[in-house]
Amino acid sequence: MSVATHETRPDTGFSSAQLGLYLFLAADAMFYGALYSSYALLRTAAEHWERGHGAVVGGLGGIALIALAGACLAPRISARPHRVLLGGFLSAALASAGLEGALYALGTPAATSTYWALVYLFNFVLLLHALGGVLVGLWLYLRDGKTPESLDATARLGLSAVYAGATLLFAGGGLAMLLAL
Amino acid sequence: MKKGQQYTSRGLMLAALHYGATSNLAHACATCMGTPGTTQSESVNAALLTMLGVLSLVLGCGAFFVVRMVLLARVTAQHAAVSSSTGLAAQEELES
Repeated sequence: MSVATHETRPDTGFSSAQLGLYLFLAADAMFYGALYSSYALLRTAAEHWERGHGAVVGGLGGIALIALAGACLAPRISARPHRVLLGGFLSAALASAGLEGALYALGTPAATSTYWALVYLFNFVLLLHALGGVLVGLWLYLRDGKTPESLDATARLGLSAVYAGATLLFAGGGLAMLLAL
Repeated sequence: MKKGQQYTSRGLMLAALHYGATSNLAHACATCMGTPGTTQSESVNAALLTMLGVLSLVLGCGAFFVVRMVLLARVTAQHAAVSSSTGLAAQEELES
C-alpha cells in the first residue's frame, strides 16, 4: 500500500504529516509536563514565595496579549480562523520577547527569585517554539513546489494552527499556574 | 570491538563506579525513604503526581489512538466484505 504524505491513510484515518505533528505534540506535552512538575516541586518546597504585583502583570500580560492579538486579527480575516490563531501565536511570542527584554532592563532578579526565573523560562520556551515554527515555515516556503508530493496551503495552515494552538495552551497553562497558585 | 576501545569502555565504567561510590551528590529518594510530613517529601510527591498526571494523559491519548485504529480497521474490513459480496452478486446477475 503506497499512500502519499499528504493523503489520509485508511488505517490511521490521518495523513502522515498530521500523525507526525501529533507525535511531536505528544513529546512536547511531556516536555511541558517536566516543567510543570519542576514548578510543583519548587512551589511546594518554597518557604517563601516572592510574588510582587509586577510579576502578576507580567504573567497576565503574556496571556492577555495572546487573546488580544487574536481578537484584533479576527475581524480582518474572519474567514480564516487558522490565520487568526497563527497571528495570535506570533504576536504572543513577540510580546513575550519584548516583555522579557523589558523585565531584564528593569532589573527584575531572575537569579535570586524562583518565581521570576519561572516567568522567564515559560516566556522563553514560548519564544523558542515560535522561532522553531518560523524556521519550519521558512523551510517549507523555500521548498515549495520543489517536491512532487507536498501539502496544499490550506492543509499546511491547518497543521500550523494546531501546532500554534497547542503551544499556546501549554505555555499559557504554565503562566496561568504561576498566577493562580 | 578493538582492544583500545575495550580499555576505554572499561576505564569509563570504572570511573562511573568510582564517582557513584564516592560522590556526595547521591541522595536517597525522598518519596520512598523520606520522612513523611516534611516539606521535602511533600514537594517531591507533588512533582511526581504532576508528572504522573501528564504521562497518563499522553499515554491515554496513545491508547485511544490504538483503539481508534482497531475500530477503523474493522469498519474498513466490513465495508470491503460488503462491497465485494455485492459486486459478486451483481456479476452473477449479469452472467445469469
